[in-house]
Amino acid sequence: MTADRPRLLYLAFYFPPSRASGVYRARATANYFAEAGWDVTVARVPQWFLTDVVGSTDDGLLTTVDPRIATVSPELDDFMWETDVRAFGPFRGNFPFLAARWHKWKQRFKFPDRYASWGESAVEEGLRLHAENPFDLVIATGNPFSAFGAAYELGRRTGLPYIVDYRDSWTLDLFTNEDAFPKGDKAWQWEKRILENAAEALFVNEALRGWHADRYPRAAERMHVMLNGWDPDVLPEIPDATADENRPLSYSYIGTLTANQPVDALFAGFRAMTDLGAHPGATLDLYGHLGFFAKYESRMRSDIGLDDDYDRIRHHGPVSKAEIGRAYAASDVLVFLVGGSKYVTSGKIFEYMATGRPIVSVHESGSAAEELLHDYPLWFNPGGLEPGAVAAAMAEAGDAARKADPDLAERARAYAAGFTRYRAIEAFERRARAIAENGGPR
Amino acid sequence: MSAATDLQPLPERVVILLFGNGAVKRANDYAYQMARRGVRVQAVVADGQGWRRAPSLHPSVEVYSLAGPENRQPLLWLYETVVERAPAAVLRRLDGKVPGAGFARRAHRKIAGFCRRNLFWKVYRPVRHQALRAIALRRMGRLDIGAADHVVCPDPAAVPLAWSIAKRHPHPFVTRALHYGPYKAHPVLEPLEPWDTDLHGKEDRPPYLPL
Repeated sequence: MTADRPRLLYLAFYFPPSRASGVYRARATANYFAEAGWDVTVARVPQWFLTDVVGSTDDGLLTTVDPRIATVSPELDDFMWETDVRAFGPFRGNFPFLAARWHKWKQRFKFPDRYASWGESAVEEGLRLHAENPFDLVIATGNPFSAFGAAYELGRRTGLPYIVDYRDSWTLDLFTNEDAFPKGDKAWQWEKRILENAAEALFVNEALRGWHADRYPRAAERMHVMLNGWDPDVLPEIPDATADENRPLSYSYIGTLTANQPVDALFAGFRAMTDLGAHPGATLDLYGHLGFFAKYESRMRSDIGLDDDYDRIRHHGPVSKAEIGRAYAASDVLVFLVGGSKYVTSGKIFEYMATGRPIVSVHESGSAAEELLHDYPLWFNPGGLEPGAVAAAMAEAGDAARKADPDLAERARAYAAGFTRYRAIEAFERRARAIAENGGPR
Repeated sequence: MSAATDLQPLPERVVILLFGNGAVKRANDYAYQMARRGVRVQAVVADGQGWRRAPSLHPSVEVYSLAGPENRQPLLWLYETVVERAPAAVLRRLDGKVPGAGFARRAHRKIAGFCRRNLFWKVYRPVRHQALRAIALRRMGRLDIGAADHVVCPDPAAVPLAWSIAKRHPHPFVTRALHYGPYKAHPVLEPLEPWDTDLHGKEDRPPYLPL
């Protein structure tokens, strides 16, 4: 290592103030390494992308980033996202189709990802910073996977060891469990190259690690699982639910709703439960953004049926960091709504478990999250998406909420205490330190 | 739950440019959301060619059509007259009077359709947006486009026109985004209904005005 404080370059496209779902893992990783004595520099997306393209930020989250962490924002080519016509040059303004074709043609020679220009800028920025004060390790988190390409390129040009952290999968479609790219696509070559040269690769569950180990056996022994976890500094202590026979129950989903989640099954199950007369007056309360991009919110609202005239399903909009505790406190039963199956865990489940509230699963049978929920004492699993089964599980969870057994809630919280984010990162940080000291297996 | 603390000022007048029919449904949704909040929404549509199956625009939108001037372009008019209208008119008159005229009429319809798809559009599509820009710019004065607050061109074919407007008029915010999100917190002033284009056609709304 080059100094007392090992130097880490962390390539995290989505980093606070982004509100992307994977941002908590990136935030916790950077904070943990800074607290563990690393000198951390984070390369993140430019601010205009969050405000102008994504359309929302979580500024509260920015204050939870360790002040010792330095951040840089490598440039991102805005061709695809620029909507202000005054900002177009004469070529694009006069010949929009030719300009689009020219842009597409140029992409053929780049890393196969729409954020490739950010990856290229991250390499340039990384090389500049490395020349000023050398790094000891590069960690990249994807998506976007241009971060992996940048880490590989930095490793190739400087000899630095690099680690890739798969928050999401790249070449595996998590919702169909099939290949996300056709045979021969450049993504496959790049993934092979990146994994075989990486000092380590991290995955969020064993199923994903196993899938990649089978595909890339030469890198298999350097593949590890780093679970997600819940963040005690973000989630305040949730007061115990009180047993009250008369109060209508609130079934809640807290998180971003996307088109990949089985929202239809949730709504149908909830309606079936209320139609059967179970838990009269119960409401289904949805907290969070609709989709990852603000401009698609209205389309999604009508697509999932939120515009329908049914007042028992209520969308409360996004909740800030300060409000999330109130949303959990107002919830009697939490609905774990997640798309995909055996490769999907969803980081949300750890936070749900930490509340000690009954949890109803609304996802396909065999989800990776089931392994975690199996030992959670207040888990209600319909075993699939059939509305009758979902309704029955919701009704049972409602019964448990009505009883509000404090011992059971305590057992549930004690189980969740083993899944904090830092607990998940501990072992990884020790391995990363050894890699930085020894230079990795490259 | 999200409080509307810093409301973006609502534009008074918005002009949507539509040269193709691909963005009409999105434009309708945008127009409905803006119009019900009291915004005057106008649209300039190039409905002269390739617009037959286009959904109709929301009745709250004042629609200005470029169909007449587009269809009067000399080469386009000549093509339609020589290849489509004149032979069709002759064969229609002969149908029933001359043996084989019915067959010839059907054959002509098929050949004209083939030529439109494989000849006309192959040549006209790459230049249409430039031709329409020139036509529209000559007529835009009537809309007082320089005083509009927003000019929206969701359709890539309308970008050259939007870019020329941006260069000539400093006031309007010229954008490709049909994004009403920033104005959602503004109160709804008019009890408008969303426009279901599967149920309603052009005849159910005020007629498009020539520009």
